[in-house]
Amino acid sequence: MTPPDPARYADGSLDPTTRRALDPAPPTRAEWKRVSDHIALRVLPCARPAGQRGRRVAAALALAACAVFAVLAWEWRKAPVTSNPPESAKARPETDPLAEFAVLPVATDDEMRIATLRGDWGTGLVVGLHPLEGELQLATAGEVTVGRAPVGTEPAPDFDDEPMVIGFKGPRTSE
Amino acid sequence: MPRPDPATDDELVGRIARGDALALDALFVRHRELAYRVAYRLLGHDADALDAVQDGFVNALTHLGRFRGQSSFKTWLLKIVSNAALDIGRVRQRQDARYVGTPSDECPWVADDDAPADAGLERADLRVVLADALAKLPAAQRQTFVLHVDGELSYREVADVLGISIGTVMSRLFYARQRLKSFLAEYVCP
Repeated sequence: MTPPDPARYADGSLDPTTRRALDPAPPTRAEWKRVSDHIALRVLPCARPAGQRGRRVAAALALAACAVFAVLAWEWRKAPVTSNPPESAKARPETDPLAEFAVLPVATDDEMRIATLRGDWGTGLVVGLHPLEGELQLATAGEVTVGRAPVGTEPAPDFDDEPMVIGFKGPRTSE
Repeated sequence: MPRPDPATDDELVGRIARGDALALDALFVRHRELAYRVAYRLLGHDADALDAVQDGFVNALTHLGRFRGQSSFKTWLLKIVSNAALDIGRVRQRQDARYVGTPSDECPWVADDDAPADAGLERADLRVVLADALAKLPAAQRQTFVLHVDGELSYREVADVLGISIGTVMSRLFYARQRLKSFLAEYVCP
């Protein structure tokens, strides 16, 4: 095999077959596909994925919303501060509605252990809130039956049965 | 394999402007190899050449307003691809990392009859030598030479692409050939 004289390339006098043989190895089909897809994405607007178009619209809307928010925030800052509280604040009671009452310290959330919880009680059992601010609903009226206890029996907690809170409300004592 | 689209370049370009993906694919397949060859000769690196082809097609098709009625799409494309290749070459400065063509005692492409599989390596070596020699040319001479020899453009087309006179094209080609011969003569095997 006679090696091609590279100087003949400079002359342009290489025969076409030899010159083609010196061409670079063509890209693979996958490489061409990648390039072709990229070109289509840039050249054809409709080739852009819907998600990308959606992101652009969402970005534009978010930008517009930020602009509106910034204007509103600026106007709010410029507004004079009045000493009169709004009507809604006036309507709010200023004193502690519980001041007259002793707080019933049932338990804090870290002191409570739920042993069993049956039926639909989970929706009614409030845990972790102040016992008198919310409703500690252990049972609804329809779920409670009040009857006379048999003579000589005492109610006792049974953690294998329904949860039970026993307490009484007495005068406020200093802690 | 899909049959080539018989439409002219101008027809395909018109369809692409209306969002026809098939026309874009047909135009790409028609010109990609020529564009890649030009870019590769200017860069000497396959991945960079592919980037130049990609950038060239995108720019050629997104700036059609400057193209219409001035030249064929092929010359328009090769102009942009060659400019993209030169830009990439300037940015990446791959000359340092590439094979430095110092002549060695051993001819890199001497055929070894006992190892016919080496024929591919010979061509690869020669490609490297050509890339190295082309890289030593001034950018204007290199672009002119590659557009004419590898891009298969006529003097007139090269002049239109580069915005120079035919006389300047011929002058650049003359000096490019002289330099290339001088560079490549070092690689002629005894």
